[in-house]
Amino acid sequence: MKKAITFIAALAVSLMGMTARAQEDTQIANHLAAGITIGLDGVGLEVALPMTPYVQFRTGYSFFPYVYSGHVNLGKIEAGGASRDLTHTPLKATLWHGGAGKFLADIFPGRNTSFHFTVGAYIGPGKLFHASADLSGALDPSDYATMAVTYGEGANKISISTDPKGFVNADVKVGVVRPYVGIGFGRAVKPDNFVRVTFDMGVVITGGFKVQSYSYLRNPKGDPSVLTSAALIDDEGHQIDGGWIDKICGFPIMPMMKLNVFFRLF
Amino acid sequence: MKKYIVWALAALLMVPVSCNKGNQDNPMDEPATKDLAQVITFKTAAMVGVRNIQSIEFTEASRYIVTYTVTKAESENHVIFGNYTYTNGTFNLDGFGHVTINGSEVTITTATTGGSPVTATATITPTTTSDTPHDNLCRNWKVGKIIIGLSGGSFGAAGIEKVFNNGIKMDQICTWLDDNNISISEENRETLLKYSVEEVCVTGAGSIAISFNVADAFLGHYQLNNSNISFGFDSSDIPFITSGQFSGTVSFEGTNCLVIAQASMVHNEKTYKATFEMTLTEAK
Repeated sequence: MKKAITFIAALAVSLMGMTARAQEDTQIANHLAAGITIGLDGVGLEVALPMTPYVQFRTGYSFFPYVYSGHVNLGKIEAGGASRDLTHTPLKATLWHGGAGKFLADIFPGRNTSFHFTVGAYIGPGKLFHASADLSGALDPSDYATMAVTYGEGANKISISTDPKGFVNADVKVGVVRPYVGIGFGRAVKPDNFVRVTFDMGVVITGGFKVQSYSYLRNPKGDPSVLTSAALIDDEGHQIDGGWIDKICGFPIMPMMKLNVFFRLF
Repeated sequence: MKKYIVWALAALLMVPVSCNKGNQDNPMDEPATKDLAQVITFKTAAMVGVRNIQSIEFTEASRYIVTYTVTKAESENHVIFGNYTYTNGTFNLDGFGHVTINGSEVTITTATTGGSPVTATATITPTTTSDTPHDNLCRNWKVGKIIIGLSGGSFGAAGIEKVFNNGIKMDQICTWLDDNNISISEENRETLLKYSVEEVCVTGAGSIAISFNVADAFLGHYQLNNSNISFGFDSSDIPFITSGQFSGTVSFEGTNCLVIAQASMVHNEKTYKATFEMTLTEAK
């Protein structure tokens, strides 16, 4: 009987110990938070998953919700044998056209520290700036995607035409996959808090910038031509910009800052 | 287990077979009269009616090119271009007559000779194409889409480009040039507006014949080195083209051919650079 009591007592102590360990928060993929973000990448949604007290994964999508809509004065041009009035051309412009997906890993130096390092990448079309001018009213439909103006020669030639709907498109493009490194403050998930505010700042490695226009004469999806200093020459062959376009576009990084508000789901 | 090994080996064997199919250099059929291709060059012009026949070329793809002068002093050749068939040792040239070859003796019978054959001595040079680019290019082509670009001249560092989707129709091109203040002289205009290109024939003997919807053709010569081509035309009637020589590239995709060529043009004493991008499809 004594043996039985001893055994039951030992079992009870063991079970209590196991229960105690189960109640301790390991933070190994046992919480999830969803949040909204606002920053230089626009506004976005993010999901955060702490893998250990030292590492947290975040993924999401951000986009720029504001589209500038107005008119620009492109003057009067001669095209297709007639004078075309482009003094009141409708224009739409936006940042981060097409948005970007993001995959980030936060690395915390201590078990309870708020400060962290972040590495990851933004993935998307990379259209940092995109503008579209509506020339459909000014041109004859037979001229859509069949007529282009060019500037420069050879590999530096810039070619611009309307697309098959009569729009002229241009953008500032960065890489499709853009690595990110930065620092941040705050944990997206803390078991005791329902709402958490965090902050990120760092640099996105863009690989440089391309200012480009499109010609649709050979490809209905558009062939880009990139503006370079070598393309900007006057009629005598002298460079117009002193090489500044290449210098500015060659800058390989851009800053990133954003504020995030997370809500713990479980 | 054996079954799986057999299947795996079969799959492995399929890989190079599939790759070979994808890498075929020449997906195009051999032209119909490749074995008959030859050039007849008369030692002394064969007088046929009022024409002094200089040469007759039978192309790889059932076309003939006759060059002639009207007077013996004339330096520029006129061109007759058309289809031919070959039966029982006789070349039957549509719209021209019949040709038979016996050694170096060539006999021409046309309506203008009143049925009487004219025989002359000639050098006969069989045509052979020695590489894949020539094999692909030496046939008859229809011009589909053409993009013409003009830069320099009055445009300065700028330029213009225009797509013509239905081949080379001179009335459309002249209108576009007019619209951009590059007007063709009235003298040329009257004739040119009626012209549109029917067919471009490239031969292994180095000829390019361009036939038009009206009964006329231009003859030129080309050189092809891998994908690099240069060509020029014998006729001085082509407006603006002053360099006399086009240079560019040729590429093939399936049975289509893309020719991108450049030439210099002068208008109102200003030199323009003209670029032609032609998508050609084979015409049998």
